[in-house]
Amino acid sequence: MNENGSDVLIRTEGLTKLFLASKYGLLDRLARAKPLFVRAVDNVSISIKKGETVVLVGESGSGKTTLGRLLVTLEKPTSGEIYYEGIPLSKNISAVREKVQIVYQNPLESLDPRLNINSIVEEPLLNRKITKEERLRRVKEALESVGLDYSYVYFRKPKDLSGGQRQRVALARAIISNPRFIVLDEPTSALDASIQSQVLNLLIDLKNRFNYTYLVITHNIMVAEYIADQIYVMYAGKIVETGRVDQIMKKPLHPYTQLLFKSVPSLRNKRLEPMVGEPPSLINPPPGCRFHPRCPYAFDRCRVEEPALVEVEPGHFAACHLYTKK
Amino acid sequence: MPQLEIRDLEVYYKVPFGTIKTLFGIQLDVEKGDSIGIVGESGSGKSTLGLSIVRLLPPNAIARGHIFFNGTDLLALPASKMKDYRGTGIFMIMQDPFNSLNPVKKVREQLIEALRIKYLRRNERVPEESLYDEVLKKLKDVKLPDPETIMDRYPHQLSGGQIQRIVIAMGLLLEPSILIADEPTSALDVSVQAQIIALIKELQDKYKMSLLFITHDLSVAYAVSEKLLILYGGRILEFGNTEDVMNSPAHPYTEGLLKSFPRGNYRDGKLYTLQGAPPLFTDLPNGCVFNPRCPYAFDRCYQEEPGLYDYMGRKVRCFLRHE
Amino acid sequence: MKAVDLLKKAIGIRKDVDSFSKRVPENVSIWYYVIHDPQALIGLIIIALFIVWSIVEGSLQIIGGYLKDPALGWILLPHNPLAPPNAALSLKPPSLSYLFGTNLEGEDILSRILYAAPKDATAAFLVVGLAILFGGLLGTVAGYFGGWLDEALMRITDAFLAIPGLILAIALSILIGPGYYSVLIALTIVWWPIYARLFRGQTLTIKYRGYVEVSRLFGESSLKIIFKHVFPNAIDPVVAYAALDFGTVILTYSTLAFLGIGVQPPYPEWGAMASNGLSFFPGVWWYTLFPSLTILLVVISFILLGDRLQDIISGRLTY
Ligand SMILES: Nc1ncnc2c1ncn2[C@@H]1O[C@H](COP(=O)(O)OP(=O)(O)OP(=O)(O)O)[C@@H](O)[C@H]1O
Ligand SMILES: Nc1ncnc2c1ncn2[C@@H]1O[C@H](COP(=O)(O)OP(=O)(O)OP(=O)(O)O)[C@@H](O)[C@H]1O
Ligand SMILES: [Mg+2]
Ligand SMILES: [Mg+2]
Repeated sequence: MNENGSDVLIRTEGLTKLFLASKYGLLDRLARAKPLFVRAVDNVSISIKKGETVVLVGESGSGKTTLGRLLVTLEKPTSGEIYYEGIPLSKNISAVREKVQIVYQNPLESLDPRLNINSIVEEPLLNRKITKEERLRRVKEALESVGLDYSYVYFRKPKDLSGGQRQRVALARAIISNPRFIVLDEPTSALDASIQSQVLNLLIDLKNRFNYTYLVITHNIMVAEYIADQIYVMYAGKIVETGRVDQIMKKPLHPYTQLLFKSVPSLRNKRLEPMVGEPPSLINPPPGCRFHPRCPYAFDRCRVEEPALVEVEPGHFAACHLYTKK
Repeated sequence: MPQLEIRDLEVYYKVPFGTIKTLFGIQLDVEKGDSIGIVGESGSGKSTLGLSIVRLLPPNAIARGHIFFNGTDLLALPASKMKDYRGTGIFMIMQDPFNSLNPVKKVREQLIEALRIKYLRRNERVPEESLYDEVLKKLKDVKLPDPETIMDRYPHQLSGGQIQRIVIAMGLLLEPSILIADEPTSALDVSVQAQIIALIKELQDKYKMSLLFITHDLSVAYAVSEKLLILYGGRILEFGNTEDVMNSPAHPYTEGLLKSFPRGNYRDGKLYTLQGAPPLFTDLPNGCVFNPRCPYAFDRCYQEEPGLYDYMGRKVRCFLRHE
Repeated sequence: MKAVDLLKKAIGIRKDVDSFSKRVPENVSIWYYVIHDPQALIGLIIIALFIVWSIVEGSLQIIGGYLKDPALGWILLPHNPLAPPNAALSLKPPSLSYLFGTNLEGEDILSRILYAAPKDATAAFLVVGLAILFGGLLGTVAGYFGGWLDEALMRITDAFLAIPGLILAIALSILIGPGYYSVLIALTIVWWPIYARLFRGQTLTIKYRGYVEVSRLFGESSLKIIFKHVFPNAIDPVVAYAALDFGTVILTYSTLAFLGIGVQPPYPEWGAMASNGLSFFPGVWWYTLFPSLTILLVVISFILLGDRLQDIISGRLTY
């Protein structure tokens, strides 16, 4: 992950987000009870190159959404720093906000049901000094880019559209303000099978046309493989493996990634091999390597010492003692 | 004789504007021990099919045709008799699992009640404590955290995924001869999903239970089933051995679905896409339901509806496969 | 709220948990369902009659007040509801000219019931409306910003909700002084916490929806987000609840009148009439029965409609 300057769009250093595990009210404070924290994202350092699609995979609850939200400034880091083109986020948050967007899994939840498509799509432009005509032009342009006919949709409400059309509207809203970086949280998992590929192709088209940088969160390995340039694998708030898509798909290094691939249904493996053991607690994460209680290869060192990400082959990193020399 | 024979099943829904036909001439045989994946997009009628077998369709639905379960026509039975077949005969894990649990009873009572029914119908006497233990074990099998405390909760005190697993546990406790599972893993994380699938398959092997597994996800159906049924616009478009269907789909829709499944990386080429969207029941095309999206459609497809033809050991609703 | 639940049980409405099926065809307005649903339709018709009558009769009374011609207020009624006592007509049983009989003062009970309607309707809509406005805004703001504001609101509403509404209303109206408006103020003070809680709950779910979060990214101000996205979307489920609640307000309002708090004689009031008649029960059964039935009818209609509205809005209705 050595980054040399200009082609890196986003870099994080020791990014950490803790959530209060339960309400910490006045009484608790008076009683001096220790608050419990969920370590949703724990000391994560990643870097995303301009124009690349980075895919984040991992178990439910491993902190993928939280990491995505941190990157688009919807969540404030507990510690650590995010750099946009080398400048710390805390120094220019409003400039960054204009350049980032997020698209959610369920378009019905992310589009205001009471507004029509025109109002939904133009919303990002309302706070900018743009004439009405210009705004309309850009709404039309954005809808056209995602393959929707303005005259057909502009007066409709989200519930009058099909799932695929709704997700296109969400995309149109995301791209209308000319962002550089878009986080897509499970963009196709609420869609029907035959619609999924339409939306995936659209994402690729848009990226080729406008040179967006994507962070795609998904649990569908086939989607990940299709759309990714770079993959990050998360487990219990930590990045456990990263590499180019072909490296990770061909030769997953971390035992967790290997097991994940075996338990995810695809058209290739008929025999799913479910992971054994309990999912890890994020409040009291296992000591040492967080995966050791479920890892078939765990040995003594894994229970006490936390492995760091090491470069196993060029560009392919894993945080596992199987690969740390000593 | 097949364990379950569905003949000419049609289901209609009465709505304020009239009646909407939702299932069209369904024919299906389920042999003992079969595992059939029922795949289709949202609104294609998957749940309707499952619900008509257990006769739990909503009150505004009308079902016509025959569903023979070990020779008895379930659709002809009075409602009071139907009760004897539900549960231990045919059990359905509902898509919306919250509705299959009684909101005012604790999880424990409901699961133990299910077990009691099972043993009553088998004329077996089992002590109370062992009922409790059996329930507890099953909850552990479905990977519920802290099963003891969960047993003492009411359904509304549980998460969607937890409720889903409790209903699965109930289905597994009853050991029905036919288990219909309607999107049973939709609220679960992939690793739990894999565990549940493994558990269902294990039980199937052990008790020769037949399984109808409803899902919209072809890859899940592939992992679960031996036979695959493709439903579209309320019709069976293709039915056959899962491996065969996956390897050489016979219906253009199945073919399109499989081709549009992501494969490889985008740099190696774009994904195939099926244009258009699934049909609306209020606005079905003339002729074949799939014709607006079909790349091979020709004149006849717009004029008459193809039948369900035998083709290489499968059934396919397409003129192209009709010699 | 308790009263509503009891009534619902009494007239056999229950949430049928076994019947499921969620999907209601989309693109159809709520009113379409209301009109096609016998239960909701009956409720709607009675409520519509009640409202239309209240508007007509209320306007006549107001105009009559301005023109210093009180007779205008009863020009549509069979008899003068405020007629001076007439011993000859006292406590007559129902007959063709006095359909609901007469009271001790010899006034026509039907006329008095009809004359009192506008005050009940105004009470219901004003109390619920103000409660939605004040409670709703407070709840939305508290829910949206969270923190100490939310905490404070919760504690205050907790305190309010801990005291039975009726007792609080009695205490307040005695404190403020007797009269129609003091009862309305008392009822609003009793009512707003429920709506504050309802809106707060709605806000808590809405504030995490994508469209709110995304708006924050666009640099929209919190106040604008609240008025553009949060409050409008929180209203829908509350409307159904409010429909039920109109009935409850009328019930409480009538109960207060029954206890002698509120509108002062000689003005008629349903609850007060029922209460006055009670001492003659069962011999003079019509005296208390008809006012009580009227209250029940109106309250039940609101329940019939509100209950169905809730089902429709939450999408639980089978069609
Ligand atoms: N606001 C919050 N308060 C407390 N805990 C939170 C909050 N948001 C997230 N968490 C917790 O942080 C952890 C990570 O959540 P996150 O949503 O990032 O997971 P995820 O990887 O996106 O999971 P999924 O695949 O299920 O969407 C979870 O354990 C979650 O319960
Ligand atoms: N109670 C009902 N009244 C009227 N129409 C209904 C009713 N239930 C279902 N439908 C309609 O029947 C069709 C088939 O519904 P069904 O629930 O069987 O679909 P499904 O394949 O299970 O879809 P999903 O994947 O979304 O669960 C849909 O168009 C649906 O809108
Ligand atoms: Mg997530
Ligand atoms: Mg369904």
